[in-house]
Amino acid sequence: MSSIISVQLDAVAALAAELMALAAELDDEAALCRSTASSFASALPGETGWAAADAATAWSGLTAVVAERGRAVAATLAAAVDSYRAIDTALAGRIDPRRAGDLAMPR
Amino acid sequence: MTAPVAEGPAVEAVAAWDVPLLRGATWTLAAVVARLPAWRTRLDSAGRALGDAQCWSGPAAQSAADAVLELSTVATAVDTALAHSQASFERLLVDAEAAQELAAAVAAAVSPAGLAGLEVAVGEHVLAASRAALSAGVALERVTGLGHVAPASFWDLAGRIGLMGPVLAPSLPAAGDPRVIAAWWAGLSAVAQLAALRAHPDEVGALDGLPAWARDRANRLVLARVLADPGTAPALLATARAVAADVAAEEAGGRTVQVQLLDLAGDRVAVALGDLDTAEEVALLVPGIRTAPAEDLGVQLQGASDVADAARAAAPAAAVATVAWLGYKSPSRLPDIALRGAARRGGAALDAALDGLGASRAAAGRPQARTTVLAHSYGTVVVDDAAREPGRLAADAVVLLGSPGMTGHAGDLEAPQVFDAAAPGDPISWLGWFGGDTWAPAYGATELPGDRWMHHSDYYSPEHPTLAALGQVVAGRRPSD
Repeated sequence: MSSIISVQLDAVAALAAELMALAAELDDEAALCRSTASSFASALPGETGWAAADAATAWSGLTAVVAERGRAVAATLAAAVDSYRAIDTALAGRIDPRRAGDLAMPR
Repeated sequence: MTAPVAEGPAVEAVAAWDVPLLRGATWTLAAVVARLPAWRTRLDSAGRALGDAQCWSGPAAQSAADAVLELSTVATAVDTALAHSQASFERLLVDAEAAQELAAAVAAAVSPAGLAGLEVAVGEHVLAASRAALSAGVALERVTGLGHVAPASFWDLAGRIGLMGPVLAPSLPAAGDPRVIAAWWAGLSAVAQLAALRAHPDEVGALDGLPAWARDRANRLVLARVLADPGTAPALLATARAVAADVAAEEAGGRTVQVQLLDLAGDRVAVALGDLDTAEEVALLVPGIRTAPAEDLGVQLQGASDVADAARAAAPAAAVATVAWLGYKSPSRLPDIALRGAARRGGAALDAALDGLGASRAAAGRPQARTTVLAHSYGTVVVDDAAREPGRLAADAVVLLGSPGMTGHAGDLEAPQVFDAAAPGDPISWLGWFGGDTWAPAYGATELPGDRWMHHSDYYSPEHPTLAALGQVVAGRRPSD
């Protein structure tokens, strides 16, 4: 294990927020693809429209899966930031009980 | 599933297809595909920030950076599949439009002559449309499998594209059209990009069309290797040390630095202050004769820094990046300084560098920057020759400073705005050695202010009025005639 662990809590929190925003944007694209799929079916009744709608539905599923993973990574990063702060606060309290409850502030 | 002609829709049914709805749906998917490169550019940018030890270091940081790399790799595969699928949707639209147009002609026919031929043509387009609809799904099979159904989870999807295991560095394209190179790079996953960068840093650092962050990383790898190599030739080592010292000095001052070119053997270097990938205003400073990286990069970077400050003074909210572009081997003695040979070689390099800046942005889905070329002395001749290269000069403005003469007219530089500054105390601007005087009204450039105390090397000096005007030009706040 690396002997140096350092973290800029605000920077990692900002990256978590960016990843969450990216996931939300991709979710919007997935929803758009889903609604577009029904347009293909309506525009071209029959097998051609069905095949096109089938493909567009797969677009929606693929983008949704990537978005879901992005959201999971973002949530993990946000939780890591919370954990670092909580651990630092707990350590501070153990070292000096008078500081128990102080929040770790980002540098 | 097949859709043979015999079982296809009747001509009347084709006439009833809702083609405008189909067109809207196709364009919607095209818009989704068009937005994905910018999405992935932001994802990769976040991944690189996470991998930066100054942000976060330790095992958890490495895991987080790896997770974003995996996400980017999968997103790249999905992007590619969707782009191929979208091409099939485009073909579907073309054939559906053609089929319906012919079906309308069948309905409007007043005599049976030629009707059979029209009906056959309708059937052909219906069949082609059916095939295109099927191929829109087939194009997704690398990420969906044969059923064209998206995997249930990210890890199913990752397993399908073979995410796990070592990634081989892709072979690099030969230097050439920056748009082709930019498209190649954008099509690589983040993992493959890093593999290419580590395996071929010399080539990656020199490829016009690649994003600035990649060239910077590659050139810094080369710089570190050269500095650590006891066998490095003294002349190359001197230049490498100068670049390393100047980069360190700028970074110590809190500025973002990107090494965009490190051709030590060719005595060519380009260093940017600011982020060239995201800046709204970009300026390249092209120097004149007797400018060598080992001795002069620091002075050129000072000029780049002063121009950036002036641009920010003109537009405080703007994100500015300026480049000390020593991207051509500047002539240092007679007869070279009086001939165009170096300018021709430099012009080709400058033209490609400008094209590369635009191409990398386009491929990454980023908006284009306003780009200004600031050329001093013999550097104006380099711009003159850059404009002669095939294709338009990819600059929004060109500024000529102390020019020893140019051929033709300002309009020949192919930039929407051309400015000129020629100080009364600058004898070079009166030489007319390489063509007509650029300060003469007949040339057609818009004059920038100077003062009578200025000399040939004072155009970037904060003590004279030209610098503030240059900042306004770079920021797009100064109108031209």
